[in-house]
Amino acid sequence: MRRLSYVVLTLLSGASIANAQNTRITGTVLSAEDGEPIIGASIIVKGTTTGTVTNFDGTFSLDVPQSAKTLMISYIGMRSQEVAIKPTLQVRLMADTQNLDEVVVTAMGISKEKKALGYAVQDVKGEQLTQGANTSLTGALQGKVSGIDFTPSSGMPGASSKMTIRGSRSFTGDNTPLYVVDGMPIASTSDYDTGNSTSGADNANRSFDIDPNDIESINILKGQAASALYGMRASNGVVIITTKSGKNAKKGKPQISFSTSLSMDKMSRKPELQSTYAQGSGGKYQPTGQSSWGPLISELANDPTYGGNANGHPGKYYVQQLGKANGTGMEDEANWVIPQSYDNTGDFFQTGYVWNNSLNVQQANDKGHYSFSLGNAKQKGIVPSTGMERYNAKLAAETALNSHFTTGFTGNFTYSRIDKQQGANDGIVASVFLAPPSYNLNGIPNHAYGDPYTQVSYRTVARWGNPYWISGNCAYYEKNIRFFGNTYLNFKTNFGTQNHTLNVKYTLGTDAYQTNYTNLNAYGFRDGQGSINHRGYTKVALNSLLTANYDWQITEDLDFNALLGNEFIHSTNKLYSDTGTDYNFAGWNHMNNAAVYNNSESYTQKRTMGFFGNLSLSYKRMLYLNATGRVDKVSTMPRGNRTFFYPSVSVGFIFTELEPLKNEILTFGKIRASYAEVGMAGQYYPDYYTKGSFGGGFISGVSIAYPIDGQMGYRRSTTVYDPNLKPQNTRSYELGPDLTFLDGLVSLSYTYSRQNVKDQIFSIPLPRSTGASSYYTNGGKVHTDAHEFSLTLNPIRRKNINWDMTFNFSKINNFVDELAEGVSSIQLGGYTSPNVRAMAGEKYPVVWGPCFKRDDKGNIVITEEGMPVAGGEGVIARVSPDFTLGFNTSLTVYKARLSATFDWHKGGQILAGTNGELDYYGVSKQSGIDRDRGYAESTGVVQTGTDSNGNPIYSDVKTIQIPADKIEKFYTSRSSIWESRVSDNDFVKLREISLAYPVFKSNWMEVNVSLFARNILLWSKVKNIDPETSQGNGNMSGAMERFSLPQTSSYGLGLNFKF
Amino acid sequence: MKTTLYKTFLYVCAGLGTLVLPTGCSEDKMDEINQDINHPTSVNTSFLITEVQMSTAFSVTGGDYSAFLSVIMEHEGGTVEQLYEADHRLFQMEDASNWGNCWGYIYNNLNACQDVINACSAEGVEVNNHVNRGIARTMMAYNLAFLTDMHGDVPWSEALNFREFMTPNLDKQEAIYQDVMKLLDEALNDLAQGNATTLGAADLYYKGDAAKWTKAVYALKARYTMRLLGRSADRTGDLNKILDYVSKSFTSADEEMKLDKYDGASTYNPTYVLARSRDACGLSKSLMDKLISRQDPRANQIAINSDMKLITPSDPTYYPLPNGEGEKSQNFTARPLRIGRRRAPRSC
Repeated sequence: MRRLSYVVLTLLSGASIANAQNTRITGTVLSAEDGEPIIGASIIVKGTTTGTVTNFDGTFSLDVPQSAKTLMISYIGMRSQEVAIKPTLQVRLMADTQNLDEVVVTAMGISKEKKALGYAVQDVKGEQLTQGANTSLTGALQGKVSGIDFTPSSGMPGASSKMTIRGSRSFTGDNTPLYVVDGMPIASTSDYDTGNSTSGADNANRSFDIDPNDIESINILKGQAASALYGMRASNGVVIITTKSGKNAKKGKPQISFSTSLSMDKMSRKPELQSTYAQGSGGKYQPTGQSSWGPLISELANDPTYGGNANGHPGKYYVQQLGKANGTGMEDEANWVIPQSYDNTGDFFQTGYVWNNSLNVQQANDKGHYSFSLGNAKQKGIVPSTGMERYNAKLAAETALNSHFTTGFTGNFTYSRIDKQQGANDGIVASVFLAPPSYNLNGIPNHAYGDPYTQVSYRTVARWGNPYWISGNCAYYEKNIRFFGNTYLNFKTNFGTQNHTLNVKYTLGTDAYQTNYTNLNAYGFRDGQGSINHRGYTKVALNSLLTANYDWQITEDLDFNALLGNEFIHSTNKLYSDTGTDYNFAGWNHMNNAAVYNNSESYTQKRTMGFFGNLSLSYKRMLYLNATGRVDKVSTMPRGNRTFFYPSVSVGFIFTELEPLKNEILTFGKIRASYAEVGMAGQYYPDYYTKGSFGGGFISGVSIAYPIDGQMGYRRSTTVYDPNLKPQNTRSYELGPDLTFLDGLVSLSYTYSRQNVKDQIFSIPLPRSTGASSYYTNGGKVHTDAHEFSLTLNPIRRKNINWDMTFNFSKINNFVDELAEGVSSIQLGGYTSPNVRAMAGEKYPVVWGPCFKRDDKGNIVITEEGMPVAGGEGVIARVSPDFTLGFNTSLTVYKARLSATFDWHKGGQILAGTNGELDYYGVSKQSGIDRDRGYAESTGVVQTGTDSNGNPIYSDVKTIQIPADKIEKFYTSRSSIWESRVSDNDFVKLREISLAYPVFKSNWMEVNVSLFARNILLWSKVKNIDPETSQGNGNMSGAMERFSLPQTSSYGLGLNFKF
Repeated sequence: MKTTLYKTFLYVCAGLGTLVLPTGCSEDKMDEINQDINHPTSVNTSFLITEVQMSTAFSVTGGDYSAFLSVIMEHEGGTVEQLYEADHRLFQMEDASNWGNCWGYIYNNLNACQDVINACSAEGVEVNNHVNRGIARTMMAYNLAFLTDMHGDVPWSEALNFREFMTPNLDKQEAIYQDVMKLLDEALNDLAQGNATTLGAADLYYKGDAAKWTKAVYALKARYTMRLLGRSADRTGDLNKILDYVSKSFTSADEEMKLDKYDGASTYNPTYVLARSRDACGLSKSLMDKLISRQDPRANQIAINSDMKLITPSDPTYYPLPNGEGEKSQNFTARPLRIGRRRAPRSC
């Protein structure tokens, strides 16, 4: 076997020899660090395509033309070298710590050297992604890349998240980047927008389907110049994912790697609550009161109606809910309890766990390579009844058919199931946090005696039920099954010359998945008869890509490259929704038991045809010029407005290649600049009618369902579309240096980018008196100034100790310049008030709601009693942070390796709705402190009179003590002024920390052990909640929080075996 | 050999390209792909009438307006959240966020009525459906009067025409009421002329009976004339007109204009829905006191305690909400909104 491959190698080595005027050279390539031979290093005669590779002992032999002078020796992970041609050579390659000659995958799968790029890219290696054992790909990227803003919604299994690169370009559209996996774009967003996101369960992003364990590397194309070849889909940047393929495996036997990890999850932050005051209002105990403004818990036995001191049960009080659960009344001793306080929040949230396994087999030989992966992630959430399970299987292979043709394929199969609970308005968190400390939520049974369908809770269940009953009886889950992959044929020729190469590649890919969502409200939910909803998407996308890449080494110094391509994408989407309402009888929560049915479905298609081209010119490996153009035609735009053209141009100049500038201190310096125009399309429909629907500010649930008495009703859709819709256009400029000092001791890269978006496509709100509520048209302008800065230091670089650290700094100023004529703001989500908005003249987004009344100096106005005064509505929170700074460090001592990622967000505000609710309902720690000391404090200015013009006169700022009997009123009035709930949202988190050690290493096996922890909140300005919890999975994400499901911190252990 | 091989390959690629191009992306093909097969672009007027009738009863007369106004008028007590704030006069009455939804529904109804009127007029597709046009005019008058009664000066002459007026200006209430009365007179005219196609059950109020509609129109004329008496130029004349209208209107309760389609299964009375969604209403003490002092027999029939049992005012658990002073609680005695009212009809 070995002999055969040796023969093949020799044959290949000799294959490119054509001329007779050659001399034979031989040599060895070794590693400068340890003297080991390098197998598979590439040897190329400079200025030609003549070359060979080193064999198993690092030796090579090559016939070179007489005129040849220099050889280029290179190997991945090592710095390339140029050596003068001699009959025998010995070359020692140094490790490329700066990754200067690193090859990255850019748009359309084209590999380029990183130094040849005129725009900013940043990459993350597979090991870096998995060191914290995060099952979510987007979560694993946090803190590791500059210029990205990442907003998770919660720590629940499969929780959605929003990732944007360099801010947002579209008010209401998709601002997330395009994900390309192994050369093909795939769907990555959630199919279901959570809408106004004030209630309901979350919906996962489709990027959840990607297993981080299978990733070889990720390359982030941040600006439009980088992603211009992708046309309209790439307005938001591109995340290029290369999965394990076996290409980098050492030739020979298969490499097997198996990893397993187990981590425990707990709530990342528990709110601080009072534990002294009982259920009730106005100091009086109410057995089904919604608040905890009752008497002292210790005084419950003295209550006139329910206390036992005067009633034959000294020291105890009667709990009405126990009576209901036992089917008895006051006569039953079992219903009288000694009053005490309970930690309802701590009791409810359990310790979750995540168990992650992955297996990978890779092998490479002379003709090709393959990789096979299997993965499984299983999670139990901190909220009972939540969890997730994901299975991944992947097979990729490539083989050379002959010296010209190569073919390959890759196929990914995923199955996942996520079990969730509802958040916000409808949610579990509300009933848990607000449970009065006197009420034993865990101990008192959650249903009536003999009737498992009638809930028992501390308050009436019309809105918020008993969380234990709900998690035990109601289910909200989604199941997804997906296949994506592609197959390709590559033809390569050099026309028998040495300096012309042509690669023609045809790829055919597909991304097909079906997601089914179920929302099951059991019989007894909200004291009603329950309901069940099944809905789902079936999406199939077909992508055909043909590229021709021609390279011409014109002279030794000048290289020309041209790329031409065609892309054809067709996708279909079928959506269905079936709802059954009101089960006929309890105990069978099934669609077939429903009394009323409501179904709908829709089918849509979309087609895009694109042609693109790329021209590059490089001079002396010093100056690189690149220009692209793409023309797209899309079906979703109106007739006559379907075709668009987008150009881009970029230049990179490595000024340290200039002889006079070469020096020992600044060992590498490059300037990048680029300009690009990219657009985004919208979806046009002619005016249409739709089935009537019924609601109101107070209504939840189904109230009217057509047909009524057999009759249907239709009305005009309140969204109207502009038949002259044109694509929106983003013009971006980028400029920045990449500098390396002292051979990699310090390297930094900075990019300034400016994006100007005009002709935004969005729904302009219309006054309802026009008969319509929104008009989908062009309008609006957005601009973003982004500063990205990455600094890498490698202070200790010795054989046994290595310490490196990277800082990733991003400052993204994303402003809404203009919306549309007469429109000053548009709503992105939230309640009627407060809500999240895009407002002209402000950063994107802001929260709008009721404000405090203030005097001219900006002081809050209060009444003489100390009560706050409402002052109309306005911007109450500005969400985007001043900057974010991620710090990654890695310390290797002998064989142990400690890595950590910290993340600092400075500035930005959040509407922490929960905090106001905790005060309003009297469960907050502060409300307890106030009652303990007998007063609450209110600071502000008081109106003392009016002046001659009728304007009010105010006192100086004073602090008024509000007496005990008015504290409840104080917090009630404060709560309707939502500005009181806005908090600065600065925070520092330890995203990941891991310690890895190879416990066993031999020729045939390697075992690594690692300990890790994730998402630990170190410091935060906002009280009680994790700063990264919020409502919604769309553009409003990160702005508003109100009873959102909590974040989790994880601690775990991992094992990795390599064979 | 090599030359032929890759030449063939290039020809194949070019061939594929030319095949896909013309068929794949012509404007016609793109139109076909983008066609919205999930919605109709026009519907018969009968469907619009059904929708307007449902929406008027449920979302306008019975909607958010009703919830807040009942508490302000002390028909109900507000116990928690927004209705508590209304009860204690802590909230901002003029706040747009309270009325945004129902304001929108009224204009949707006006828009639908306008569509019906257009379809049944000179160049419309249902030019001989006069009764439909009469019904649409009546519903338009009803919704319009409701709108201006609630909000005063509102957009009307520039409304429903966004391509010309993106921000319609307000009209004076006087002009709007003149339009209301004109619509009702035109409706009378239409109703007398009959229909080409029978409305039947699509008309949720009167099943297409033009005679009953005529009575309803006269009732509305009487109502709105009474409303304008304060601004009347000739009070006596108007009072006589009112008597005339009343004589041409309903003669018994079963002729009243109401929606009686709540079946408690797929459709629910809006007051019931409010109670089920929010459970924020309590028995108004001031109302109960008036009933008790007048020895009104209904006083014994409308109090429900927190166990959902009917009680009389003499019951020890009777606990009405003292208007404006109650604490936040869902323990008060309530009207039986959540039981037995699912199917109650809603009159206009």
